[in-house]
Amino acid sequence: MKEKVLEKLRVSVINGDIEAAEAAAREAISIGLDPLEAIEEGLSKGIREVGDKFEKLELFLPDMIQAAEAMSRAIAILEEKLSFKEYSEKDKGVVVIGTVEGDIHDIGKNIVIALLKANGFKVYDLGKDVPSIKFIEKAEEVNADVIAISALLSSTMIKQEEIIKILKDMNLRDKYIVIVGGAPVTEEWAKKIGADAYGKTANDGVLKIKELLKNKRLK
Amino acid sequence: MALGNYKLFEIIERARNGPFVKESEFEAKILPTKLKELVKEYDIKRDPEILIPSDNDLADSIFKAAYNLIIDLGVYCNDTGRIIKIYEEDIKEALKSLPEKIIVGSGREVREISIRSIEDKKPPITIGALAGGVCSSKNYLNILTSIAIEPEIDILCAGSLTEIDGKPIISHSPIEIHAAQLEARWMREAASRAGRPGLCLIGSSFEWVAADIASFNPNYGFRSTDAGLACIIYPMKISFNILSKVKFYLESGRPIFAYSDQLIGGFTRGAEETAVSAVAHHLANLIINQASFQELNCQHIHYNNKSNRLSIWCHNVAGQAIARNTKIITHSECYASAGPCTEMILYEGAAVALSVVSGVHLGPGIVGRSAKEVDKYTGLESKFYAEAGRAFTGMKRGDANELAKELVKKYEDKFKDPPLGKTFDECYDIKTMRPIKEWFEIYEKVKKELENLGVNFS
Repeated sequence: MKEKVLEKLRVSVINGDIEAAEAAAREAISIGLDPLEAIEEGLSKGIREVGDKFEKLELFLPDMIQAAEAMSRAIAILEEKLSFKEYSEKDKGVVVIGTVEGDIHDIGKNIVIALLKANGFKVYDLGKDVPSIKFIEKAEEVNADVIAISALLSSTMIKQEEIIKILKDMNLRDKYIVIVGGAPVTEEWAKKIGADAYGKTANDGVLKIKELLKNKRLK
Repeated sequence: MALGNYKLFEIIERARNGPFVKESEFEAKILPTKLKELVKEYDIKRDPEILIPSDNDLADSIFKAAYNLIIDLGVYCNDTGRIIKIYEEDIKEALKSLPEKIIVGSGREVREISIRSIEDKKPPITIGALAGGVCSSKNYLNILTSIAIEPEIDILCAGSLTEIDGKPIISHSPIEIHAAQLEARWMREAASRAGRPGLCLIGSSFEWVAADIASFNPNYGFRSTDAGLACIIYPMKISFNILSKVKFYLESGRPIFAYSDQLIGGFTRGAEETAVSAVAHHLANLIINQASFQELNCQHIHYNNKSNRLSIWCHNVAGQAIARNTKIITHSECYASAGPCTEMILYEGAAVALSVVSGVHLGPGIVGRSAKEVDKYTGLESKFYAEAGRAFTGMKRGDANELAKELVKKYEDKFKDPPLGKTFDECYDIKTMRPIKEWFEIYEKVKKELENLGVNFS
């Protein structure tokens, strides 16, 4: 029975089937399956397969987004059965993400969101053309670990620096990991403005967030 | 029905009154689902062994699917959150309004850009880089001059300034306006230095309409013989900012060069769906942005270039679909993974330039390091792109396909770790505005190797 439910969880994520994922999560709870096991051995296995297929272009961005959504919705059901300790152990981190003010390009950001969700992060998407202060207000509101800032234009990347400046002025800089990305953004720019990391690609960004968060939590 | 301002205002009315849809629903669900259905309905399949198809039925199926897509889907307006409905009459009217040719540039640099047919014997027009490639203010003028001095280049496309004298460019501020004016002034100056003051320029690279308008200055900046830039935002979206630019271009009499970045593996799914989407975006650019000429721009989501097998296939089948069914003038853009002063950037460019057999013109390109590395551009790769396009002119699609397969094999295993090449000032002598010996020898070597493969550059 347990194996069947784990398989249902895995397959529902691969198919991006939200209803099936939610039903499988409820079934997992009803048979007394450990929620952490349901996540790790069911949902996560599915999302890893989706990620591998996306890498080979056997699946595409909409499939990735749908799979990540199915996984998030199933986790939301399973979370209700997790104790605080278990939840903390499972928690990969909370990310506030958006595209800076004056910039309406968001496909890169959306790919990062899908990958973050696929990796178990709780993601708050502020959308595009987001005023600098909104990044900080949201991060404070949801007690985020990471602020991820995207900019596609050479004339808008300056807003990434502005957000970091405001964080410093509010004495909040050390509270958050700040990662920047986008077409004109470079490693040098990230260093110059005092960001913690530069995500060269969506995958690179997610890997760096994981690494930085791990290091921060070890301190 | 009418064109010009009346059409533009009608589009805005539709944007105010069309069906309301969440943006995420439109781009991540409605559009990819519809594309998938259409590709199935029209039985559009890519043969992995073929990069440049010779299948006219495939090209026509892609056109029919694109035609249906835009009618079924419409175009999403970012400002209102509503769908701008597109009707069959809009498409027919727009296609009917297309001329056989357009005229750009002035004086000795006037260029007539006419539609090209499949396997056309007429050489392509080439737009020299930079297509948004990021440049420092220190090298901007020199890089553009190095492209403008190459006689094979017919049109010059703007790059993106990353700063001005080390100071950041702040969006929607007087500094952005200043940067846009400086960019236009430097482009004009580059053309003048090359002895080609009438060369058609494409810009501004700045998206904000106020900056764009400010860069229009018949004495120091863009003129009515230079093309303005408009786009359908990927996937199938438009903004009032862009429509405002179109309004200004119509008033100032400028031709409109329109693009639409397609992402293979992105919202438009695989190569088949992306090819359909690319053609549909051309139709949308025609109806919504009243485009005079356009470009194909299908990028791989992981490799970020247009020299991979999937992108080459998309550019060729979409080009053929457009050439066989419309009078839309389009170009094949080339973003390469490698940087200047490498063999790879030239082989990548050659493979993309083969799309001249599919009824397209060339450019902007070649843009090295996928436009992302500051100052990694020179005139020599643009010159090579134009030369390759001319050399391939008149080839049969089947022969072009065989050559494309040979070329792609030379570099595709290096996409994840491509040779980075050199910056402009590392591989050009600024006093003579010529490439250094090392770079010129690489260029000659690659041309020689192509000649050994049967290409005739004379």
